[in-house]
Amino acid sequence: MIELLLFALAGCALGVFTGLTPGIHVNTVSLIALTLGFYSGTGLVVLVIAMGITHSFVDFVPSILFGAPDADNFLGVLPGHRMLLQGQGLKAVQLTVAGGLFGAMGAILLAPVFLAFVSALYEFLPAVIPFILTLVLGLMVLSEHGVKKAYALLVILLSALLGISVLRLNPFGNALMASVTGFFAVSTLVYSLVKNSVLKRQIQSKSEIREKSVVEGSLLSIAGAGTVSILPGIGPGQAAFIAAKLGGKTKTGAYLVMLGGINTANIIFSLLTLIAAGRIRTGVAAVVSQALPDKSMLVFLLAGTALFAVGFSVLVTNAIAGFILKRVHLVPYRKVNIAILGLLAVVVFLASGVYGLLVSCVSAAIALIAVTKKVKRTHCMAFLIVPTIMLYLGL
Amino acid sequence: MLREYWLNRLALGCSVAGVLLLFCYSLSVQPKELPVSEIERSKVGSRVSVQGMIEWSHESGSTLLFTVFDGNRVNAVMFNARPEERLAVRKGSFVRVTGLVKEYHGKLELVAERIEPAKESLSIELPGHAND
Repeated sequence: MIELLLFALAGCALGVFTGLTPGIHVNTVSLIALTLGFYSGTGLVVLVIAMGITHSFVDFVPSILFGAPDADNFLGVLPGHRMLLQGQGLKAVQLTVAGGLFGAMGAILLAPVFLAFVSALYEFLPAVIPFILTLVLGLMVLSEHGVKKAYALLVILLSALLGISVLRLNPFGNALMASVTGFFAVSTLVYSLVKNSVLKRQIQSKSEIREKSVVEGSLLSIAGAGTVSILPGIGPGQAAFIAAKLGGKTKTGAYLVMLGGINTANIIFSLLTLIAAGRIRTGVAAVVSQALPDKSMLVFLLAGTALFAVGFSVLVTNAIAGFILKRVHLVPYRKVNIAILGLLAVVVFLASGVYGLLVSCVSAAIALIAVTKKVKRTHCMAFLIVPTIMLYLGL
Repeated sequence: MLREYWLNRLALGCSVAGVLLLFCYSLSVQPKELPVSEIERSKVGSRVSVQGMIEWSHESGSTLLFTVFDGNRVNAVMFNARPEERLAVRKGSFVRVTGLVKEYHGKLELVAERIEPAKESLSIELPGHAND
């Protein structure tokens, strides 16, 4: 018992590290732990689950506060950055934290239902997903007015072409990371630099979150994460995007709650999918599958570890965000942005080489078209949506 | 309005519930103590403990291969054994091995997770060839 708690705490500490460090994904550390022979059956399973859960909370801190996202939570950059510039960075992080907390609790409470129906969903969902995604693309264009529809279409077409090129025709290592860094991080930072954005003193008072936002965001996150954990080729970013588009007009608060919820609930649902159908959908699930051949009691191990890590992560993420935001205005924002741009360039270069840097620049340029023409930057999600449609249609 | 302190209280509640669930898990997966003769195909995937004498052992890198004998024998393997576990696995020493029953090339084996010196004295009737 003490051993399990120590593994859980070690996993939480590793999750804080991977969450705060751009470019280091929890899947990478999980697989390194496994291949290095860090083999301890149950202990390793507890470690990677706790790491994955904690990472899913903490990774919103660099994403929202510094505009440096990872491949799972890049959609948080845009609303998060907007709230940061309004002095509400802490509230933005707390909204994702609330989402993670309620998303995880919902996923655990719904585990028996999910386990009972996951096989049936496997038969049904892959057949309808290309049509849902095509509908989403249509809704993206229709959400703009007048001439903006043409610009939206242009952004969608360019993003889709880039996506087809780097994700389907000529895929390379960490292509997704290089692309989302360009679309959502580099474009945000460059635009901040050009507009000489100034960071307001951040509001530190105890914030309050509307229950309606929490309920709406949590329900969308559970639906989105439950779906994404079954479908190959669709990650938390796409799930959040589809859920937001199909869920009607979602306010910023509910949207951030949903993003936080999907990120965390996705880990729990992916492990439930492993238990029920033996399918591996995440790096954490891959490690669990190899480290723990006996999955008869995995549900209890998962629920216990996840709840422990969720509690730890809520407190730690709020504390880290509060600590950073108290000091962030002391550093010139322009210099912070330049430093983060440099860091992202190094991370992309190390992960994907010169080609990755080129892809980041092209994706940032496409995103800047959306910014300057005042159409939604989320239209750039076509770079993921179109290749996914092709995958499901067997093209 | 949902206040921050409610989130923190809920988080603490989650952590306590998590610790309790992990405690229940630890109690529920206590391995069954079995004689080697009861390791059969129906036990594949189960976590068990056996006590016996090391009849044969071999080290290959960080992997230990050995046979546990208590009147019947079972092959066992341990990946990434710790130094004290390597010391415990010597021909003729008495050990308690905890691990998962698996099938490998049609034969049952124990994938050891823990090896410790046997605490209870064992009386094992050794076959003739084991003493040779």
